[in-house]
Amino acid sequence: MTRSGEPVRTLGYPARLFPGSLVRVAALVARRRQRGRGSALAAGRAGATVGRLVARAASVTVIGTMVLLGPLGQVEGRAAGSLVVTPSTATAPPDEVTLSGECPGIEVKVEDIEVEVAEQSYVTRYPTTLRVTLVGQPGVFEDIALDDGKFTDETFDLPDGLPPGDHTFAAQLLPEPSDSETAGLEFECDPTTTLTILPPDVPATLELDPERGDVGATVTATGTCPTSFEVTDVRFDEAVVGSATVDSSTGVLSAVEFPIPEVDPGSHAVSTSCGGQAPFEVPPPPAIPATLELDPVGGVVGDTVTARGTCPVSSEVVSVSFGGEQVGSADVDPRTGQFGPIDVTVPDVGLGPVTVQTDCGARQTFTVTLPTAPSTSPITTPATTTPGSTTPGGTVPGATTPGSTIPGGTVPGASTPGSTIPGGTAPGATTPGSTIPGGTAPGATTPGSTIPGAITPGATTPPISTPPTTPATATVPGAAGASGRTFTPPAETVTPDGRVRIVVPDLAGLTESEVIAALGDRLTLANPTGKVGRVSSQVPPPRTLVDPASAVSVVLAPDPDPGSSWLPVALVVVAVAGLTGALVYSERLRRRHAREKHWLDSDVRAELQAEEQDVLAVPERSVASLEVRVAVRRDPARLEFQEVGDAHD
Amino acid sequence: MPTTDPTSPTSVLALLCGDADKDAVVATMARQLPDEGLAAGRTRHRFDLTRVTYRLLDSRILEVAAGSLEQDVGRPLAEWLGTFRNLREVAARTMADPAGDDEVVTLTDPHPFSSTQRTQVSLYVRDEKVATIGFRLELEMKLGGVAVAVRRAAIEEVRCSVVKASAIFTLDDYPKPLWKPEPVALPDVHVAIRPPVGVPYLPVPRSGEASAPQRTTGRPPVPAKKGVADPTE
Repeated sequence: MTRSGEPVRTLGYPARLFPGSLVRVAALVARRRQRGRGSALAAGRAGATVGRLVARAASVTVIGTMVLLGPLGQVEGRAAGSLVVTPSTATAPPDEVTLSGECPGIEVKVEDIEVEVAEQSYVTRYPTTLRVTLVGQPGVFEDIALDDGKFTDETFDLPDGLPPGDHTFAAQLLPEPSDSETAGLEFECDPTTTLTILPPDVPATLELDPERGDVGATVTATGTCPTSFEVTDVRFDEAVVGSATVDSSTGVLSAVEFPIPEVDPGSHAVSTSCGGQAPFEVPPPPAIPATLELDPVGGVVGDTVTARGTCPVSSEVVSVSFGGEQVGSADVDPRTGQFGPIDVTVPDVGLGPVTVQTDCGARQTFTVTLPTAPSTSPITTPATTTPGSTTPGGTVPGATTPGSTIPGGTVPGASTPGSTIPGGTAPGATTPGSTIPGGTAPGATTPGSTIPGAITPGATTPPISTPPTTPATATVPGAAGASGRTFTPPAETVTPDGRVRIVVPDLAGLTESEVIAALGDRLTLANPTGKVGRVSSQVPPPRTLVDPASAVSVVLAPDPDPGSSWLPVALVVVAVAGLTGALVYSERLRRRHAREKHWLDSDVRAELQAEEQDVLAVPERSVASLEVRVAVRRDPARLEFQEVGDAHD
Repeated sequence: MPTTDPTSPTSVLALLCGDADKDAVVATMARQLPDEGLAAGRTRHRFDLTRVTYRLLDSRILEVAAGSLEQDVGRPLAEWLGTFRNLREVAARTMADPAGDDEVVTLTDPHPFSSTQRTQVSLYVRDEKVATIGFRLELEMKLGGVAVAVRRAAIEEVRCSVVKASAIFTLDDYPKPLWKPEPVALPDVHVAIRPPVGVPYLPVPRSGEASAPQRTTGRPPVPAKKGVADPTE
């Protein structure tokens, strides 16, 4: 109600509307129009005009009612006034926000006493104070003074620790002062607004498993990205190695597995396009030693030898040299350091052991040997006849027969069928086309002469088929040492000039009888002594090429007692084993004690449970020797015994 | 009475060993244990421990058991003295005397005091009791010139002109004592009883006064329960 006692009508949106007030609005419009026209209309026309006005007023009333009530029916229950919070959304709880808003006023009818012709006019009254409360936070509110129902950028302090989520500001009008013009007006203003505090976004993280590995190793990348990302790339240094999807709610990346690309050893950065980063360590490759393998490890000049091995990866290229002469090169694998296999040709660098080496430092020994001499054993002599040859005295024991095979390797002076071979052997006898060690031997072929064992001119003696042999492959039956060992005779080779040479065997460690057996009948022992001992040195040294039947001298060293040599070793082994066992047992015992002590400390406890004492019973009667004497203590702080005489009852 | 500060033992251990360390007593006990120790025979069927661990476990059991030697010696002594009728009468007098004077009772002849206490040490592994080891403490004291201060029917102080004490601490079912200190003879022993030990006193009628009111044999009627009429009414 207004001061004038007239009913009020509301303005603004949404105003309280009543059917009666709507009628009054239409009447007001009609009256104003009527007033504007009053001076122009003659009094005589008043009657007809009144009828039209009534009709128009009725039309306006109906239309106005429809216009005003229509929207209201669609926004039923909406709060009055408006309230806006700035910002309306924050990623973190702000200290304060600003509020703006408006509350509708009420138009009241007042009497304008200043107007000469008394007439009614309407003014709009607005509420004066609005209280905005943060819902759910007791005691957090702001009273805002309204200026014509409005307020702008009013600061609203927010409490600390607002959690993420929607926070509602609700406005409520405070009662108007009783002595104000707005006292008693029924304002309505209860708008609300919402401040949304977003939860903190997920940070960009990246984790690698493992965090260290070699090139080519598989690494799994996990982590998180801000939820604003849907997909993120995973980069190793600058190279994209994979992509992952980002969980829209948690930001967790799908696991990405990728191999470590070809990169240098050291620390590298793995990153995601959303900002996650993690270091990755590629360890330096292990030191690769320089090695060299040859296959075979011996051969003649011109042979092909396969070389392979390893070099430090820094070598890149390795060259192989035979006795200082480079024979080949190969690339070194940058990861494994391996090279080869490469085939190299044995150069002519002399006989004997030759050092084969790589420029990265590996060495190997290759034994260069002479081409293998044709073997004379086994010798198969075809059945041939030598016309005119005679054997005085008939068959000589030991002489070969046609087609017979002479086992036993070298048979100097191979015989021909029917020839006479004194003693069964004819050193120096030659057969055209055959190679016979010893060269010219006694009884050399002399045309026309008849020499036992000589070859008669015109005799048909085909070349002896001698398969190539390798040194020391023919076994000499019965050439066994005293120890029962079997030795092969020294190998023989043929030099390019056609000379037959014998390779001196290695006699080290052999007894004298074994040396004799090892030398066979191709070489002789120069200084047989019959002493006990083993060869400590020899002349000429092993693998020396000498003429057949050359002498080899050896130096015998005392033969150590095998029994006594094993005893200290066995004792040391036993002692070491015992000491090792004792140490291992002691360590295991110490660990067990530690475990058990920990168990005692953590799991075991002991509790004392004392029972009542069993005190010697005393009859409840007076004891004759118990005297009661009087003592008086006034000071309770200190007891002083004073025997003042008998006071026994 | 001597003016010098009297000896004031507070525990069995202090009475017999003075300032001796408890660890030394435990070590003495450990040397007297049977060959198989304490815990090994009782827990070997459940725990396979090394000999060293069993010794350590035995040592801890003895440490706990030796706690019984640290119990207060004055309280059992006072409780024992409180069984004397003479002392009870004096206690009654101290209660009847409004002035609150102390009474001192002296026991002139030596009188033996013996106490036997059984203790058990329970061994727990993760709150499960796995073994119980029983011990027995026998304490014997011969008191000479005992003076007992009684106030408000409670013994507050005991003084002895001489105390001869001996103790034996044994393991159940094992004849050899674990701890048997040399008997001691202490002059002028002063034991403060804290808190004072009450003496069940006998009311002593004073001359000319009526005897103390006797309790009637009849009991007052029991109040009737709510809503139920008392059948005696």
